[in-house]
Amino acid sequence: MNTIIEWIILTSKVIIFPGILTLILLAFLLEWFYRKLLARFQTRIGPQVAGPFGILQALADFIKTLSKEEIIPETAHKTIFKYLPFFAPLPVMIGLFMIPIASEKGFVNSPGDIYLLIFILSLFAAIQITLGWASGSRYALIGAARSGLQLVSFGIPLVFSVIVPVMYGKSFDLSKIVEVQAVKHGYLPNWVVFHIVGLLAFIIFLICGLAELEKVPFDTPEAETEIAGGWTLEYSGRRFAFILLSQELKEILIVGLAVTLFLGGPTGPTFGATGILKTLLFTVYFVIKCFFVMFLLALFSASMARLKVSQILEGTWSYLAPVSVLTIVLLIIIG
Amino acid sequence: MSKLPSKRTEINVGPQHPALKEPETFKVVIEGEKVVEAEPILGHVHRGIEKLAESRDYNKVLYLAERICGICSFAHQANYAKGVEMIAEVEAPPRAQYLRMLVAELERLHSHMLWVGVLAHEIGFDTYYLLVWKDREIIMDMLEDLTGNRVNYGMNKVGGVRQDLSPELKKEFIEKIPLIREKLEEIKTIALEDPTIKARCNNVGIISGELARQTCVTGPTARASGINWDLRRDSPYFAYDEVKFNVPISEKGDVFSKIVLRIEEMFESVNIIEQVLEMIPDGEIFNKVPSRLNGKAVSRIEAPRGENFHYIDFRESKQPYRMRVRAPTYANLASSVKVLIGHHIADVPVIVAANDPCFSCTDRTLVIDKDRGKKKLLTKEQLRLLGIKTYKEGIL
Amino acid sequence: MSETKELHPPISLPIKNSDIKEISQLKSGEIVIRVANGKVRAILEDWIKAGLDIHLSTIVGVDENERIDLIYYFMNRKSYDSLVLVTGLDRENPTTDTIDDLVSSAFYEGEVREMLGIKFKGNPIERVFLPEKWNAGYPLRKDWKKSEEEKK
Repeated sequence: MNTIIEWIILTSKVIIFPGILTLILLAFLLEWFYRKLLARFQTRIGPQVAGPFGILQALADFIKTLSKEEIIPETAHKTIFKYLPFFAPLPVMIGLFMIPIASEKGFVNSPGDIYLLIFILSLFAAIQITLGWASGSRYALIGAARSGLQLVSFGIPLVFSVIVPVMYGKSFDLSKIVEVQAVKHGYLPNWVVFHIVGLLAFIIFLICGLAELEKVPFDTPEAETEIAGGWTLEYSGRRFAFILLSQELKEILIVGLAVTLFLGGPTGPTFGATGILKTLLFTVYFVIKCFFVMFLLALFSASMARLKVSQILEGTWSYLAPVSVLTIVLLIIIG
Repeated sequence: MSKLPSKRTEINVGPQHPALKEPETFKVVIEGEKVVEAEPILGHVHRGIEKLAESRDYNKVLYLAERICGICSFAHQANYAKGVEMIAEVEAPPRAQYLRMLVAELERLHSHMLWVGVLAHEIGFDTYYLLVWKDREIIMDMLEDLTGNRVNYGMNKVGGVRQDLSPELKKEFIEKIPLIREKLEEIKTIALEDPTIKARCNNVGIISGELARQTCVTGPTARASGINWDLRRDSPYFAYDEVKFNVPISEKGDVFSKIVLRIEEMFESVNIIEQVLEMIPDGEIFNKVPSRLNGKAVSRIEAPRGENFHYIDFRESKQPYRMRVRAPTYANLASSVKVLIGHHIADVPVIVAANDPCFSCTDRTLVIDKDRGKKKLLTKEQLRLLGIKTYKEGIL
Repeated sequence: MSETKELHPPISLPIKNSDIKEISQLKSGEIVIRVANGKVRAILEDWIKAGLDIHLSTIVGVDENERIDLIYYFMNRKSYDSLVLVTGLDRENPTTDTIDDLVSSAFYEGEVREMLGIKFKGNPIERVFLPEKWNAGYPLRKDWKKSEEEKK
């Protein structure tokens, strides 16, 4: 009997909290926040119809896209085109299970979290490239090629900027890194971002995160005004909805990773609360920190024009990659 | 099964493409990310205006001319009205000339602002684009207050204008001028100081002076390449010889110099508007014109995009015998196509947009689709069945 | 047309007296000089050799019933003087030389070809405005009518 109850609790954890449903809702919430913020930066109003302040906009978009007609182009690779989009959110979802949201520990956690997360990010890029190639459109192909170029050029700075918190936490385990940051250090908590090298690594991580999320100025794989949407161009209906979902989940994965690695994860003052109350408090802290990172991303994104692929390559290899190596060297010297 | 791209890939930018606001095709052959060939395919928005004009009363052609283009509608209409007045040997009264100048300069302002916004959008800088377009609303409101419309103002008639500027409105306009200047300063500061705009536009799409002369470009495109030519100054019309203004020139010919040049031109337009509001004489706003006309005239004015050319030919008739319209974009097209070669794909929309292309202006003559005529009409039921069939085949 | 004696071409745009067939003036003031078919190219070559900065505004084709007139609107960018050259072409077989290699005129010539059926020898452009399989004649000729099919 006990095993059955445990099983039910585990299942509800996976599906409801802090599992799939929560993550999807969080992703929609974050997407709405990003869009609303960007709109305000651009003197627009932004989403306002679905729900109060348009808070349900991303959900409404998802549902509407699900109901749209689907078109499969003649030139597409049929099998990949038909089935791969539905698997696109999967790796990101697995990655999200490792991010600590409701407690210091992630829902799934292992000593090698970060290896797996970096692998998942690369895997998702591979999926993007395959999706773009399989749709058989030239625009999509160019977008896929650009996606690959960005993966190659932002991979190294991303990994190095992740190494910095790893060195602070002396572990590849996300929960360990969070624990180290939860300790008070004078008035401030011991967050990685409050160290000079950590701040540098945080900035590099944000830049790479923007590239991973394909937002301006690194949105060349989608570049609406150049290649009309890039690798997502040919997808419609349910398939596009799932691609959209995977992108929104990826948004929360990147932002969540930034929060976990640099901003102390979901930790914060608990006021002696325990149990469910603590879980809720932690979730709220996590969401607030996510909003803050999203705000930085939106600010960065709104104040720039899209760069050319050649300019991005030049910038990453001649500035970002050396600086990211330098952070590691600096950290070793300072200790 | 899709093929991997061979070394050369042909992509069509258009007829429907997010970078182009109007239907037009640029067939671009690329190698990797570099453009090696480019060819424009025109004719998607032919409306047969030149042929249509031959069968209409000259007063009605006025509204036809206005609908050649949505952005420089006043330029086309005023140009046509000016041409017909020359044929009729009737001059519009001074107050009408000043009012035309006022609307023309307001139109130049809003057109240039639109262009800056569109260019910002092409390079992915949506914040700048929306900021500029928000400021553009001031101008649009002024145009609406004066003429009653935001686009297609219906301001001209042959022999004068239709709407007068009331003293209250004049006062309101004068009060708005410092605000416009302030907003323009803002626009200019962002354009000059933002590093990403420079990264995307500096040294991109350079039209050398020689190429500009050979391809006979007009307007800001020509002035950005060092051709010192502005019809307002060099062959004055309306009352442009009575107001003082500078003609900004740049030698470089790249996209960035075009941004700066157009912003400078906007400041000059504000100067002209200020002088017009100061100097506008009182009096009638239109003169009567005989109903039958005889003679030929070429009427040219400096539209926001460049030299706007109308050839009008009347032979003792109410309808023009021949009307020929050459919009500035058509003159600038050859240069932008030549410049595309050797650039990245990312530069294609920027270079195409840099000339402020207006394809409705460019395509205006005549199209009757013969193939469409042959197609049999489908009944509603047939259409429904066809839809179901396509749907089944497409999904499963 | 009767005031021929008083009209002179602008000094900045010289033209040989032998080339002039007829001088008239537009109501907008520009001098119009009628030259023989094929002369436009030669005159333009002379101007460019003399170092003039020539701008071609456009080429206008007008169906004059017995012939088709081509109106070239030139301007000297140095003095802003305009000069209009007119040349009459045979209606049955209108052919003339392109001037695209001297000043860019390919699109203008292509348009006149489609609308009035004038052949320009050496023009590189195949199609400008009309659909690819257009075979319903030249729309801007005065005797052009919509085909019976279209009327339905």
